[in-house]
Amino acid sequence: MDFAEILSKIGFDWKLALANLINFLIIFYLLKKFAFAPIGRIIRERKDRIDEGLEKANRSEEILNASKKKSDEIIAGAKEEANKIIAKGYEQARQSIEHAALEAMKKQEEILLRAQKGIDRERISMEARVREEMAELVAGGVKKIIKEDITPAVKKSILEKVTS
Amino acid sequence: MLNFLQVKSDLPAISPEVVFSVGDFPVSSSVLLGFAILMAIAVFCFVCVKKYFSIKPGSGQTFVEILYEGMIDMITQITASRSMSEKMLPLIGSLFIFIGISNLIELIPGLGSITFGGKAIFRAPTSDFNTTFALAFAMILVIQAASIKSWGLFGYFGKYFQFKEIFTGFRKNTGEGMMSIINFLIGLMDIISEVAKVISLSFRLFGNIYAGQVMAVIIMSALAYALPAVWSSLGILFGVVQAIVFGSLIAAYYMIALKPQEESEGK
Repeated sequence: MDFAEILSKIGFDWKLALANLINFLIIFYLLKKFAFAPIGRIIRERKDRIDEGLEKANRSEEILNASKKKSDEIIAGAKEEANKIIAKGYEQARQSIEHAALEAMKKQEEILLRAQKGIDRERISMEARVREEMAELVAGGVKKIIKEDITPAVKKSILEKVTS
Repeated sequence: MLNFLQVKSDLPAISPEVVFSVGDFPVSSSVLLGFAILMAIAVFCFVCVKKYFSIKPGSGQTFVEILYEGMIDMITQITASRSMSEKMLPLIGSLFIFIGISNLIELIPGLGSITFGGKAIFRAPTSDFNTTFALAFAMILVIQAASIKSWGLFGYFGKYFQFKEIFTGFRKNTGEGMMSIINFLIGLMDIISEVAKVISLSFRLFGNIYAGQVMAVIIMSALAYALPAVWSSLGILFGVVQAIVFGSLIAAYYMIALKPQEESEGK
């Protein structure tokens, strides 16, 4: 039994084989042009978009991190500045208080000095008046004792003796 | 009781039935089912892919894309190069889809019962030797053409007729010369192996699918309940495996036929 006989026994017919092959070739053409090519293109396009999106996301994250770092630096700087301002404010307040206290003390001293002067003045005038009245009293007493008028010169001498 | 449990039917004929003829050209049941598969694929291409496939996939598109990537991964296991796999995908993918659908479609119950003029009009293309032989023959021709393109005409024939190697071998020493004679004989045997590839590819696929149909009839005549369901389930597995085997072998033969440099360039 030769090979051709075996083939004919299992129903080999080149015309049927050709028809089946043409069927397959059309299927191959359809799938290649209208299925594999567009599906491959869609997958590639999606992959490119995903890659692009991931790249953008990475870039955004980097920008976000940089912005965060910058904002942290700015906040830290601002805090430092604020602390400096607060410290300066405290210092100024302390200086103002000290200055006010000094001023107050000075004023108090001035007032005290003025009051002391007034008191001294009052005391001097009071002493003068007391002295005058005492002289008057002493002169009146002497007059009553000696029964004669006392001259201003005597009165003065008495007064000097009393106050010395 | 046994008659109730058994369904006897004739074994399928080994040769396909010619349903009608167009001039001198016969149209067999396998050609008709092959044409129906072609129509289904055309509808898929022009309706599903063209109208509904977009960058934002639905569940159907996701399934197709998984299949697409799966095929590329499978070919990459053979070629070890993604770019080479993408180049080979249309050919290997078409084979896988056509053979896979053909193998699975024959599992649809009652398909063989659809008749025209007393003849079944649908028969799985892969259970017809004409289809498997035509596919295997065409693929081996494609592989030879790719090999000639890769090696050049002299390089291609030089693979099979290694005269130059005998000359250079004997110039070196007698041992090398004897080895080159053995290589020359191996080269001649490669011509036979190329022809054998057509036979092995076509008979393997045809034999497996036809034997599956015969087994289904035998099982139905033994026990018509439950057991055929198990056989059909296995038939799905065998159908897919046979499609993968055919496609993978073609991919492997293709890669072997190319010049080694070209293979590594693709990596």
